[in-house]
Amino acid sequence: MSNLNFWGKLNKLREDIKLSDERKFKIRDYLINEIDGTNLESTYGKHTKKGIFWSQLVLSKYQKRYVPIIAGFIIVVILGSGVSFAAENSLPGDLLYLVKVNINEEVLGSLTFGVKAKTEYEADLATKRLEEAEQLTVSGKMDEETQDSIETNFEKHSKKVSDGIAQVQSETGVTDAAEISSKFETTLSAHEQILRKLGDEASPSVQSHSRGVEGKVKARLKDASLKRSEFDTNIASSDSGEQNQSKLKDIARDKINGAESAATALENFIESNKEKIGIEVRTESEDKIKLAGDLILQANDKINSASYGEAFNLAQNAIRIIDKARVLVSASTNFKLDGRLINKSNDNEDDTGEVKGIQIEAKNFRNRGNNTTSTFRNSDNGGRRSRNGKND
Amino acid sequence: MTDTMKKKLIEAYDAHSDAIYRHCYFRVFKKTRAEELVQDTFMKTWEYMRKGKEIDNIRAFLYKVANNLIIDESRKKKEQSLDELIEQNIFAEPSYREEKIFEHNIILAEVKEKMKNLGEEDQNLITLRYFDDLDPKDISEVTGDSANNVSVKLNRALTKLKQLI
Repeated sequence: MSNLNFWGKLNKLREDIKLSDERKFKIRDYLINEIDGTNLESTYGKHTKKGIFWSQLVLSKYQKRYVPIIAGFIIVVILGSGVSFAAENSLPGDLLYLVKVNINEEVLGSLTFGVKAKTEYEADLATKRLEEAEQLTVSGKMDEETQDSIETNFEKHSKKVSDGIAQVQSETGVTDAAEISSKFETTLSAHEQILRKLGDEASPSVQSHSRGVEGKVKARLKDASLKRSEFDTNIASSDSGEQNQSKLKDIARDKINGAESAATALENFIESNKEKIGIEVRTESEDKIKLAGDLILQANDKINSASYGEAFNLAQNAIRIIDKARVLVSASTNFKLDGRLINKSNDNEDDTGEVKGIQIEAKNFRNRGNNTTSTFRNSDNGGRRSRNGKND
Repeated sequence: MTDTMKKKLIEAYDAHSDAIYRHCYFRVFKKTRAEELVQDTFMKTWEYMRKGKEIDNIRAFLYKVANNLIIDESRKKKEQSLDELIEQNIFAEPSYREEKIFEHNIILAEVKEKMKNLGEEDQNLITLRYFDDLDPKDISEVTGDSANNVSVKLNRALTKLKQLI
């Protein structure tokens, strides 16, 4: 090998010699764990050889079989380190994304008990995938691979939601199932519109992949809407037996209270973030709150006329409007979208009227579940907007 | 205080881990051992920082620590044959094509053969200068020598290496 050739090839070789991303992160994780675990005395010497192996045990997707066994032991360590937290914001294509979906989400899911909570958790995860799709679209990183990842995981979670709703219906009753179904439909509807808007503004290549995800959401939304209609009919014509009527009345009353709380929370949210929210969006959101208020009034009337099933459905409708407006308001601030997010012709709302607004995260179904309190409720205003004197 | 130190170390890791790896690799010519040396280097640096000792130039400090570990390593390592080096198939990452793996291994073997004929100090200087892109001033902070001495020694080492090629 000539002198010139040798140095030239050496330079090329030098460029190629580097830590792989996987190894780089594993060592980094190990360092962070060691640093966080070190108090008075160093345990470094004991861990010299074990460090990378330990990290492999924690992080390797090929060793996922270990996770259920040791989850209870490692969860504190993982959550105590920077790894889990850092992974939470990762997106498909990022190295830590595997940590997020294969470890963080699996471990948290395993700590969720009861079919209702598990179904709501799966709905949360499906929502997360759509939020990731939105971020990928905005950042221009939506491509074939990330689209495939999003779609696969979204479909997986959506199927679990669908199966879970059926199970909830048989185990705890139709109103619980209807509630989960309604919330899921709302979030799908909101995110379908957000994706469409973001896709409109994306480059052609990104748009084509984003539309693919949007298509999956549309299909699931159609199923969710059909299911919700069935539940509405089922509840409206529910058994007239005295015991059931009494129970249904309580459930309807709770639903109305929930709708009022959600409306108040949205008002508070808009008030707190009015500088970030455009005037047009704010106006549209306030219109939605008024529309929801009308539905709540009607629901109260139905309570008074002992039409508890219809009261429940009207209140549910009101919550759907509020929830969707909230998701959309949040998205407008996150993605700095101006003006109307929804084109009239594309609006897929039926009897609930148009929903124009911007995104708010309709995440964390669990917090808004049984107690019907809104995620953003932090005011003592109460919000009994629509009660009339005849309500019990 | 601990948070500040931790932040400093992790920032140093993000900035210099590749370079330290490369340095270690061209001294030990073993991928997994080089990775362990990177880990050991940063852990030893953390131990030093935990004792409350200030590090003005963390990059130079990392190289110093790595060098000390490598010297310990060289006292234990056996001679590696050319065949063993090729068999390690160090570049067998999924992204590498077969012909690239083969070419790299041949070059590595060549480099190793050349370098082993130099003394420990010369190997270190060549690695720091030509693999780590450190200038004589930076190298002087690593080795503790004056920049002038580093330049002189570097020239001698390079002359020897060129004669071997």
